[in-house]
Amino acid sequence: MKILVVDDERDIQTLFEQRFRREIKGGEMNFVFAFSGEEALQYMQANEHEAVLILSDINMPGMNGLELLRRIKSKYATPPPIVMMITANGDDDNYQAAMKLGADDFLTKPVDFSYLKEKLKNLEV
Amino acid sequence: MKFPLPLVSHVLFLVTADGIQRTRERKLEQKKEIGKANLELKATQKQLIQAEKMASPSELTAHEIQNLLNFVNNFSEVDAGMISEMTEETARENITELTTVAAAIAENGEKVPDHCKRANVVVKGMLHHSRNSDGQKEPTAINALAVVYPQLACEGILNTIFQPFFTTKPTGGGTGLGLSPSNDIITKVHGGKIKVDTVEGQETTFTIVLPV
Repeated sequence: MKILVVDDERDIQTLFEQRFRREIKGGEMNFVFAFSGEEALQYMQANEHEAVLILSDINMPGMNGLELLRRIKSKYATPPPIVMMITANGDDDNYQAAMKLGADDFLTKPVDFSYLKEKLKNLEV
Repeated sequence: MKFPLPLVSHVLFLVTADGIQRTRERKLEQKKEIGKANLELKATQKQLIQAEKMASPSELTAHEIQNLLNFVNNFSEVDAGMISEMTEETARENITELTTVAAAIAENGEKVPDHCKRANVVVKGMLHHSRNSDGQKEPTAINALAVVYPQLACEGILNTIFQPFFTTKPTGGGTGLGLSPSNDIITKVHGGKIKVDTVEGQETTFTIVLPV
């Protein structure tokens, strides 16, 4: 399963790679990283249909996660990738906007990695 | 406190009715252009703006500190997991894996203090800004401030430079708490306006309009 993680915080890459060490080593999960909404779209254009799951931060400089979500959902219709929003701003406005734009899930930081791992494993089935 | 943006060639302070009028006119023009360009996006944009509505600076500061602490927590937890992994691999005498895991732990050893340092900078900035918290307005040498403070922006980031924690400096370098409180102080406390015009790579003009 290919997962695209979008966050402006670069250490997120190290963190995910270590949190999912066993899954990556075992070839169950394959992570790619983008550090802005713009970068994420570029990746998706270059590798269409490759990322089946996108985990995106909301609060990022430049294109924010909600705008990225909107573009992904309107552009990549068949099949639309699963998009989960992960944000420190878990307020209702953000939640409503994400849901309206078609987010498949909405998680708040700090990320509960064992919970996220379970979620990802269940998706695979 | 110093801020990261380079390339300011001049800063204008217009404390006149004329200045306010000119700023208004320019704003109006800008609004028209933006409106034209984004007509089809309007509905969604409205939604996004609603969701993006800025939380208070203190809330955002709290978020930022929490974010940094999350990293510290996460990396410490991951380290603990990797150390038990090392024990397993030692039993298996798997040197390759041992080396990989040890390198990852060493890397985290640098990340934890790095995030702590950043949290420290944020707290220091917060204390700095809350120094005079009694709301008293004091006279200040505005020209001296103008030399030190506002600094650059290129087209793409103009919209973000007033957001808290936005910085062009590398990790640990800047707090991103310069222009955002400046904006709050100028617009909310003094009822003024701050505007930025830039010619990328050449000059940046900050126009600050204060009611007399």
